[in-house]
Amino acid sequence: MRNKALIAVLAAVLVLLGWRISHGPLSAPAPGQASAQSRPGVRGSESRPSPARLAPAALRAEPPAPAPGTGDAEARRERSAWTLASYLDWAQYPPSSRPARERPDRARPHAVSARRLPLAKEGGGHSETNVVLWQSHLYLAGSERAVLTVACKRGDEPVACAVLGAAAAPELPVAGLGAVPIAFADDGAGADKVAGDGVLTATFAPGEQGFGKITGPLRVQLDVDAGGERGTATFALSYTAAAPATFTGTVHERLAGGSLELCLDLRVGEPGRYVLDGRVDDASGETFAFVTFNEVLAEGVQEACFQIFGKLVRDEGARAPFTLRDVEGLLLLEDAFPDRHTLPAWEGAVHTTKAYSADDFAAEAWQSETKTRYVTALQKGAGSAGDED
Amino acid sequence: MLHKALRLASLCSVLIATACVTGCAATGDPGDSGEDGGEHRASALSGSVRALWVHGRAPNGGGTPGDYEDFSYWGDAGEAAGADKKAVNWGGADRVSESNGWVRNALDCFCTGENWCVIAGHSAGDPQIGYALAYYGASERAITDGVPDGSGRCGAAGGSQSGWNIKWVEVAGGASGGTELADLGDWAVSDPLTGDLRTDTARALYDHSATQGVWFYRFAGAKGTLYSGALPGQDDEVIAYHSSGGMAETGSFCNPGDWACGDTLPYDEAASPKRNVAKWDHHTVWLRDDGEAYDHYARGKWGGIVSPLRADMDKYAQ
Repeated sequence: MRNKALIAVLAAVLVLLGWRISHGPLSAPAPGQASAQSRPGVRGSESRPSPARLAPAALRAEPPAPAPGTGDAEARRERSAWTLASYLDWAQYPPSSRPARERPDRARPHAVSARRLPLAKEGGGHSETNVVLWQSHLYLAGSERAVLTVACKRGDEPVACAVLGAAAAPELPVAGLGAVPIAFADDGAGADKVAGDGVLTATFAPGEQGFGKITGPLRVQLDVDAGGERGTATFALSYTAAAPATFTGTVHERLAGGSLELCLDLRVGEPGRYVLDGRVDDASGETFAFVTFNEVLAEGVQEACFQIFGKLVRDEGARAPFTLRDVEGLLLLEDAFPDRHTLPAWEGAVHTTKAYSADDFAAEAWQSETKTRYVTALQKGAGSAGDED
Repeated sequence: MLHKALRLASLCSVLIATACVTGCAATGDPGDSGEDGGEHRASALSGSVRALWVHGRAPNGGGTPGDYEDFSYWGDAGEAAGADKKAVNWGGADRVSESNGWVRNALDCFCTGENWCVIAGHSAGDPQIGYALAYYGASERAITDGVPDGSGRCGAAGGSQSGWNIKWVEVAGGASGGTELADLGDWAVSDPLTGDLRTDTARALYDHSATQGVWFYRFAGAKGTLYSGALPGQDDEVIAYHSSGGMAETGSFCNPGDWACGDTLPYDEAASPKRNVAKWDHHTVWLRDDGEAYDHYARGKWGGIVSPLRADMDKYAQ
């Protein structure tokens, strides 16, 4: 059994190496990595094995016949070997301390993908004219404010855009609380970057605009005139009136087991499962790590620790001092809606570390009960996927 | 180049070292039956790997929650769809966060201890799986006996483990990136879940890349015409490629050769060729519907984009 397991892993290594070689030198990254490298300030790296690389072409064009056959056993063995190889590659670092390039949509806090939608006509149906909606936040808390923008397009061409009226209201009606008007402008003032560019901007601060006691989803509905056509569009937001915990401003820094821990003090008012994330830049300003915290915290002042994993620092060639920035967080509410009480984000630089040398960081890969469990089971799968044939 | 060669060597050494460690750890595994292939198969395959099926939006109900044999959402329960298949029914209409407990119950039941899972999802089943993995995928879970009671919970077998035992996930017409039909209020029947399926909300609901290293194989259908004005790029009539293909941004993504389209949905984990839009981490396009053969609807007959998903599960989830 031991030999079988060892052979399975070595086979996975060979598969992985074969992929590395067949896809050229590591200096020729796959498109996914090119994307990461091209994002400003996010460090790229060589690509990781993809399980689909060895997908039979026939499967893509034509689904396989339902009845398993001899070829299926080989396909299963192949997928099992890939699953093992890719897991080993991924599990060099813990789930809580990852390369930043793995989070293409989380490089900045609060990230909400811009949306391009057909204008919803007043009488029903859709226009061929589009509205392009962007918002700085979807989840916000306390005194945080969201910037909302709207522009109009027909095909690739901008068309004149006017917000005839906009109002914010809770998604679910709240007694005594009506809609609150929201002002959009294209005057270059405040959050509006350029006057007269066709992008209309509003700033919405729920806590200051009538929703200071609301925790839950809000909607901002717009009546829009886009190139002479009238219709509607909506923004979704979710607001937390009273933060469940607050950052005290204290950050503890310590080397432990060849990795660097950055522990933020939280004054916890509501105990429960807290989920936090942050980005880590190296001395050159490049973002190389995305770190997360997901643990249950008791009431009182508690530490929420991010780990900058040693091997990640070494593999990314990151030079200290490091800067932890843009920390977001929430209290996760199990089986409930809304499912969170949002913490006001700690935006910008949160903590800059001391200077360290590469030798301060361990070169060993992550080890854990989870990893051992997975690798052991996947070895078994890679070794036995076709035994029944 | 030297640096990269060193990294390659480093990777090899790590893998080999890991092989040694875990190879040794495997000694004494309860499934170890020496050289007897038959007994080994029984341990590795029979009963220890299950195919879990997590359905999508179902305003009128998607099977009885907690009844793992009720495949009414999907079709004939006798159809082959992976080893010892189980239906994970969660209601189909409530918010993801409110109904996700049904999914976690199933994972606790069938994917802890010696039991491993391959998970299939359709439509809103995609964010249900992703939400569970992102928020609870590294949490401490009680190891269960794998025997569900009437409510879909399993008894404690003693001990606990971090996260679940999931080999991989396969999703057809995945809605984790949302659908413009929800943004526009186009569905005749509105339910709480619709609010989660807006493109802005679905993408912000959880970290889609936090899969705990588990791959999401994505099946993207393109036989959509009715809502082509609302859904950008190629779609299966409910879900556009930006979501079903696991793209990290919304936008117009199509099959190759559609020059009127903004970009192409690439296979694998690759970024799009024109706009360089990345996919979420550990998401890979396994089936792109170049022949525009698959729409969104299972129709209670394992139909639409669920058809190749079922075939793939039958083939691989064994």
